[in-house]
Amino acid sequence: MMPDDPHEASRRTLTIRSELSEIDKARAFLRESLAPCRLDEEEIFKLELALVEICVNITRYAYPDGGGPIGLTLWIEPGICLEIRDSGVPFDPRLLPPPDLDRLLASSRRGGLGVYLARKLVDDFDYKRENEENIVTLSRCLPFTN
Amino acid sequence: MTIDGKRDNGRMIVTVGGRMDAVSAPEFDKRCEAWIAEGAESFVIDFAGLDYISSAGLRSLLVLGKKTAARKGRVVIASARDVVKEVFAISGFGSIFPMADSVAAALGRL
Repeated sequence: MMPDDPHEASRRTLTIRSELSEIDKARAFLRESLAPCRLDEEEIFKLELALVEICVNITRYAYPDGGGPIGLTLWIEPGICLEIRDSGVPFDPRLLPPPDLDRLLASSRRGGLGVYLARKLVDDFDYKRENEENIVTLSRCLPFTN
Repeated sequence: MTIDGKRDNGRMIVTVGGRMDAVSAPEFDKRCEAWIAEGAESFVIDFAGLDYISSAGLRSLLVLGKKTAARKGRVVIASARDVVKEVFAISGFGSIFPMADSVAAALGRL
């Protein structure tokens, strides 16, 4: 018998539509999933904000011809890993330059500020394109884990 | 997000609570726009009850800052909690908006 996936026990998934009105579901999913970790609120807010920024970006830019799904997977051990998938246009957020505040005002919405914040709020920010999907993985080390 | 405004001569004391993000920022824009139209020149934004601010919220503040600066007004942030301060620091917005520990201190900086 194959050994169990060590992440399986804590793995949780949710799929939402790429609409701003769906983001509360992503937020609730994150909070429920993190409940066993007993993180302080500040810590949760940081992860929540990083998640919201990536979801808002997908909502605005991934599906130019209408909406599509956003898949979330969260697992704990070691640390917290949150995977965010969309099947929209290929986009590697790591390639965005740091935001320029003057340009942020002059241009419309795309200023790169959201992605920049998300990257700074987590310990590790990864991206891959796999099976026609954009997959962003946010990781955060847990304090006091063994 | 909750938002409430109190007039103090040409100054507005705006209390914002909850989350200021892509969902709620348009409401903030709309209310500030109306206060400016009614003659508000400077703003104290009381963030004591704000859980977090996202890039969309920061952008709204930037727009407000630009509009008030055009009329020689200012925007001062009051009573932000640590996580909000951290977002200001990370984004570089900490150098754009003065921060005060209380509304009274913020009013003193207008």
